[in-house]
Amino acid sequence: MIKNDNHISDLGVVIQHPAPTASVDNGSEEFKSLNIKLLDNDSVYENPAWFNSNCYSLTLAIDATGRYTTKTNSFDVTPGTFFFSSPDIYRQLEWYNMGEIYHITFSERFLIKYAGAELFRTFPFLILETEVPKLTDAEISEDLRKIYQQIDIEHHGSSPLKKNIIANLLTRLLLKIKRDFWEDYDTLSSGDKELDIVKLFIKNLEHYSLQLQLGKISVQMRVKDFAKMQGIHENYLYNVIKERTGKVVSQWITEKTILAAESLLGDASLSIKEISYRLGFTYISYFSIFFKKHTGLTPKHFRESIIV
Amino acid sequence: MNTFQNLAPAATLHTEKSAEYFKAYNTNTNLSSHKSFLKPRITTIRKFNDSLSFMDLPVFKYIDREDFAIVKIEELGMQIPYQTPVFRPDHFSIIIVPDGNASYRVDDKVFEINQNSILFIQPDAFVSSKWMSINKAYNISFNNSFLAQYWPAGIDEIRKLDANKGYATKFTKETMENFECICLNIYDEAISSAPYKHEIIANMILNLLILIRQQQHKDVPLCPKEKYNSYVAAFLKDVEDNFSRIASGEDITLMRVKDYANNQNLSELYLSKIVSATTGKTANQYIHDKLINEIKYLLKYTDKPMKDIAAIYGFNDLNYFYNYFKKHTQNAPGSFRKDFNIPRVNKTNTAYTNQII
Repeated sequence: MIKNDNHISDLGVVIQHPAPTASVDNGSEEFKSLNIKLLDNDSVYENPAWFNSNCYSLTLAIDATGRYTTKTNSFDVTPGTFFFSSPDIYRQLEWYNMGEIYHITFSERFLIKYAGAELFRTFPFLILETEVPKLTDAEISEDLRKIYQQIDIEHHGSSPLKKNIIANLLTRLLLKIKRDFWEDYDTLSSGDKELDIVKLFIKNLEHYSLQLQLGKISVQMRVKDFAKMQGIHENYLYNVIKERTGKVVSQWITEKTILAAESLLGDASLSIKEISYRLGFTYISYFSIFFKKHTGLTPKHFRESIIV
Repeated sequence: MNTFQNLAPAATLHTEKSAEYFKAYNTNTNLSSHKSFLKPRITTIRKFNDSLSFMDLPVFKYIDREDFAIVKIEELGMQIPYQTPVFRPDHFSIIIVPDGNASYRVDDKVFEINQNSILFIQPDAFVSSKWMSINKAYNISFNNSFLAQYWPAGIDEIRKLDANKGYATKFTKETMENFECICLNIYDEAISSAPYKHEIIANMILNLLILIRQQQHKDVPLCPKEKYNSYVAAFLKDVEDNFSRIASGEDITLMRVKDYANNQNLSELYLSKIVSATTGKTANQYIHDKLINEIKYLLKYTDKPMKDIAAIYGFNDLNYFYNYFKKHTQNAPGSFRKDFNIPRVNKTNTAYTNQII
């Protein structure tokens, strides 16, 4: 059974458990924090459904055991385990015992908007790694736990800038994780040929999106171009990307273009016409239609909504 | 304790640079020494580390960068009360005081700092301070290049802060504990040699800035943000920069609107138009006001001879300087200085007296 839940909740509990979950401000929220300890939930929970989410999640199990399964991988969650998952990966979570678990889900957009982080460039492991880090050091685990707790406190607070603070704490959490687990992370050094293709593709894509935003290039890239960059056939690239990431190449490109458009629209000194040329659209109307199709808002409305 | 006696031997001992400053301000010191009160000495020092060594305070080994430093002020071993000379920093400072007592003067404004207060100072302002007691206090200084290197998005956060040169506020005990906790974390990172420590430090500085911004919005409800214009921002930054360079003697020419416009490849008219649209003053008026404020500061808080002040800002003719000042303030520079000094001596209970105890 495959359940496609497009909301952020990817820990089974959130979907079905009636317990008071962290309140969500509005439907399109991009961030969520959950502290299982606070939920006072001693019951054993099993969620046999496969599910999928459009967010990244970071989970720290302080006092819990369970099993986490993806299509390619499966491992036991023991006390002191830290694991994360990327969007669009079908996974299954089972909990045998839930004493103290901290769980955060967030979207790439959330980090870009509130912390200005280039997710891939700063934290490449989030996108590319599936291996699970185990916490052996009590000190590290305590360190991370403190940040999780702070995030949780902020999340329930009412500060007008709480999202900025949460994004700030979240990047700190990721930086610490980077320091503790992937200190000398090399983005291109696995023995797996297909994984290398994925990594290189994402790297090229990030580069492309950055160039777009800086106004250095103004052409739309296609699957063919990315395949050419690696010297492989586009069908091969298409298959590898789809197999490994669950998304097709054009979807990756579209998402990046939308993110670039959103960030350019935030800069009030650029006209929409200029933005559409920068992103490689020859007609503004085509840009508007494209933008509306993927975000539900026209560029003009989007700009008004973020400036107010 | 006379601050100058305190400083003089140290300063001469130090680098050639401080010897130069000393020579340059020698007349200043002599003049003031036989008066009943002393004004804090003005220096041209801009870097935090230099200012520490100028005051003969320890520059700890862990401070290994020019663009970031954190110190526990109580560890500096200042003799209380301690009056610092005037600096014109090129960096931001966040002074966090869980327990202590000081008054800071940032340009023309005086900030009383006591328990559970913090002070945020922007670069390119005259800063001097007087510490009455220090039990626990932190000073974090950093500049734009540090953030640009380790967390480029942080520049945006600074832009969102209140544009005043100094901002002080008092916190509740709980909030202060949070601040202190962040400070201690930064300190721990600073003295460690862990990888990515600068990224984490930059991240925590941002956290402090967000908390400060949050407080600013609490104090003054958020008003509709004026339209941000990158040309105007660059112009304002250039003006600050030019004045700082003049004050520190690196530069002697006062830039005109034309020069600023050339800098950005804009026409003079257009620059003036957009500046007045965002700031409400024409570019020319903005520069004049800034210049008058700088001169006023020097007249009030230093004993620099009028001739020197005029020379710094490129007035070759002293008469022209007098006329210029009078035209813009309706007061002659000499009487302006006198008016400021006389009531000052009589006021004994102003918190920030220039008297040396």
